Formats: sequence, C-alpha cells, structure tokens
Amino acid sequence: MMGGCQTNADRRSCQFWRVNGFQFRPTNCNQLSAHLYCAPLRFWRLPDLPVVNETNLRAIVRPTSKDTRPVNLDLGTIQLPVTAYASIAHRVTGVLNFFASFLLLWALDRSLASEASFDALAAVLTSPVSKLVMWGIASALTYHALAGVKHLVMDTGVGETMRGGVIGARIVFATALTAAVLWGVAIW
Amino acid sequence: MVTSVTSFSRTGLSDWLIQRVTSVILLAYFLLIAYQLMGSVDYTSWTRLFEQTWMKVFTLMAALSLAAHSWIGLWSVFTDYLTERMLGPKGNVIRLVSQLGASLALVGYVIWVVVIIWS
Amino acid sequence: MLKVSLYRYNPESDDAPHMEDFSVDTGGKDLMVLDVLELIKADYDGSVTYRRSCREGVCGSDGLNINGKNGLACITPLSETVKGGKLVIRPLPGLPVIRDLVVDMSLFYAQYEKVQPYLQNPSPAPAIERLQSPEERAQLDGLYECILCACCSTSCPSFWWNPDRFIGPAGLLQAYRFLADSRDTATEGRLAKLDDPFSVFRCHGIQNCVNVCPKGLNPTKAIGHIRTMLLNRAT
Ligand code: SF4
Repeated sequence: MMGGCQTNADRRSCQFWRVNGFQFRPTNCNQLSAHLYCAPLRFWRLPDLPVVNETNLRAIVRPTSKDTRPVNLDLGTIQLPVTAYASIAHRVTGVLNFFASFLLLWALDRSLASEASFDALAAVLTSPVSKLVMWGIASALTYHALAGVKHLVMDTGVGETMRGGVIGARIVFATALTAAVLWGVAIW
Repeated sequence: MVTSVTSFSRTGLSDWLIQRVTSVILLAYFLLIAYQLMGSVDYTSWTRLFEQTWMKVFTLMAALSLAAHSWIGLWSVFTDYLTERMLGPKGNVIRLVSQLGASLALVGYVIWVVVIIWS
Repeated sequence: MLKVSLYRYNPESDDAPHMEDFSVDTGGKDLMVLDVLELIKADYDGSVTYRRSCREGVCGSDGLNINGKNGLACITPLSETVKGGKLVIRPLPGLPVIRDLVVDMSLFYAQYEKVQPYLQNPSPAPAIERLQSPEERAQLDGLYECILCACCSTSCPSFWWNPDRFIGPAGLLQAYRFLADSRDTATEGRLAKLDDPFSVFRCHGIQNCVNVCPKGLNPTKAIGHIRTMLLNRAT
C-alpha cells in the first residue's frame, strides 16, 4: 500500500525528477502530499503517512460516542427544499407500507379463504375505522409509488438539476394529493 | 469499500438494481389489483382470478419483490437511525434486533402468500 | 438595526452550546453575512470565532448555516437570506463543533481523501503535459470548480447519519471528477472501491447538496454518472 519515492530506485523512476514543473502527483506515490515526498532534495526516508481506508478511518477520526463536542443538528433550524420533503415522505410511507402489507395480506387471505370469509371481510371493510385505514394505506401506497417513479425518472438523468428536482417533487406531491382525494371519494 | 454483511446483496449496485426491478414488479401488481377492484368484485370472479396460474406466479413474484424491496429499504432506514452514532452503545443491539424482526416478518409474509395462493 | 443570533460554544467554559443575540447596526447597507460577523467581532464581542480567509467565495473557509441554509458567509448578501429582520447563524450541521462557528472537518476530509483525488496514470508523463482535447476537457466542467467548503455534505441527511461510511456529495463530485478525466487510467480501481451499499448508494436523490452549493455545482448529477459507470462496468 505504501509507496512514495522513498528509495533511490523509486526516485529514479519518479516523474517529478524529470519534469521539474507543476503537475499532478506522480503515479508511484500514494501519499496525498506526494509533491513533497518526491521533491529532489529529500534523500532521507520519510515516515509513512496513514492512508485512509475503511479500517482506520474510524480510528483517525475521533469516534463520536466518546466525543463530547456538540453537533449542530437541530433539525428544526434547518431549512429544507421541497425535494427533501419528498424524500422524507417517501421513506415514511415506505415504512408504513411495510406494516400495511400485513393488513393487505390478511385481507387477501380472508378474501380467498371461503365465500363466508369473503363476505365477512366485505362487511368489516364498511366500518368507518376500516375505511379510514383503507384510505390511509391506499394514499401511502400511491405516494410511495409516485415518488418511486420520480426516482426511476431521475435515474435516467432527467430532472437532476435543482429546478428539475423541485418540479418533480411538486408534481409528485400534487398528484399524490389528488389521488388521496380520489381514493377518499371512491371509498366513501 | 465499506463492507456490510447485513445488506441484501452485499454490493451497492445490486441492491440498487434489485430495488428498481422489484419496484416495477410491485407497481405493475398493484396497478392490476387496483384495476380489478375498480370494477365490482364478487367472490367467484375474485377467486377465479387467483386460480389462474399466471396470477399465482405473479402474486408470488410480487411477494418476493415485496420482501426484497422492503428489506433493502428498511435496511437503509435501520443503518441510518439505529446506529451507535445515533443511539450510543446500545445502537448495534437495537439495530440487529430490528433487522431480525423485520427479516422474520418478511419471510413470514412470503410464506403466508404461498399458503394463501396454493391452498 | 439587524437582529443577529449566533451559535456560541466555548469548550473551556460551556457544557452546551447556546444562542447569543446581537443587534447590529448595518448602516442600512446590504452587507454580506461575513461583514456582519466582522462587525460583531470588532464592535461587540471579540471572542466570536469563525473561519474566514479570502472573503470572496474562493477559499471555502466560511461555510456556515445561515438562516437554516448552508452557504458561504462572504458571498451571501443580507438581502438574499434575511426574511423578517432576523439573521441566525449556526455552524455547519452534523460535524463536531470545536468552538462557536468552527467545526471539525476531519470526517469530511477523510472522505475526500478516500476517493484518491489525484490523477493516476502509470505511463511516463510527456515532457510538458498530458494533453486533452477541448471536448475531453469540457467533461471536467462543473466538477473541478469545487472549493471543498463542505456546504453540500453537511446539508445531506445521508452524510449526517453515516459520515464515516457515506462519502458524501463533495467527495463523490471529486470521485467523478477523476473518473471523468481522460488522462486518468485508474477508472476500474476507483469504481471497484465505490461499489458497496454505503459509499455511493446512500445517496437518495434528496438534492439538498444542489440546493446549497455556492458554486452552483451539481453533486446529484455526478453521483448519477458514477452509478451509470458502475452499472456499465457490471453489465
Ligand atoms: S460541491 Fe459545492 S457545496 Fe460541495 S464542497 Fe464543493 S463547492 Fe462546496
């Protein structure tokens, strides 16, 4: 892992020796401050610098559990663009859908088990509480799906600018809201 | 390279791709179900739909997609908020317990779907 | 008189940070936020601590959270940020505060270092320079201008939760800057190091980074390009 022009052989092959002008660091140096390492006047062996990788990253940086310094992360003070709210809502509805899946599977189970259970389910679904739950699940699913479609569109490189992202997020919110209203109309 | 043993496929790209593919399957499935529910459903038409082989396969695919999609999503949520950084030393235990709970639930979902459509 | 509220924390005497209010006479001028800080330091409280250097948006030292939005104090005019007569200045979110508005950027730099932000090419360098066509050079526009102010990474929720595992928008913009460089030959090795569930794929397209970058750069787009490169490499 450690490189750098530390031996005379290294130095002989080092580009910095041959081109005495500014350029990006020579390829046989692994240190960030490689220009210094390859400077012609340095002949002594230089100490190894830590190379940042996954295993030592946490050791180089003070671990937060022992770090008593404050961190400014008071979310109420931070202004977020509409794209961030779209993302938060995508996450929240995603977690909701995980729990909703249980109810949906239960409904599927009841609806297919027998004619009697089908009718019992249909009867349960007419109560105001279950209507509300149904509406909630349908709206959350719709929002999650629409925001997911926005993700897929952005994956193709469309709407990655701030303007594009804001327009996309607004479209998602507007259509999801309309859909929620429509679900309400359909259910009640 | 950040290693992680609990992510769905261990590499970022496949997790990402699986998330996309499963989302399309789930979207198609829910659109189909929504379309069916638009019209009037009664027990006979509803069971007839689920008796067809393609619908059984599609339902199973949707269930598997749901499990994979949810796992990848929940895994991101858990590794964001339920960490030592956020919760202190208990973080790892809480995260592993939550991951265990979620994975059991998702395996349960898939088995449940199999039982529903093949019995 | 402008009401200014500053985040104060002195590690030697304070257990916890607090907000301190000043009312500053701006002389009715549309000052930059940095000018207001300088006024406070000169006329009200000399112990107010912040980083600054060039005062013209080139050095990237004075990235601060200004009225809730990250930006460079030196190029943010009051007219742009002050709504309702109040200016709230807090340190960049998510990084440990050393004192007042100064944060410890070690994590940010460590992530930057991880992407090996330097040209790699084992072939002997020509006597003058490695040439690029104008088109190849144009690939680096919108990437090389980054001044490492950390406004983007510290506005990114994914970076808040996993600053040791997610490289963050600034680091990824630089990762792509070298992936896109026609003179760099280490593309494969660079990509191999990025294909894990955290380094790149913690980006969920939130776009807070694009929203705040004082240089108008677009890390989200760069991350999209990295993803495409990873996809092409794997398929
Ligand atoms: S991309 Fe923009 S916001 Fe991020 S560090 Fe570079 S200049 Fe600052």
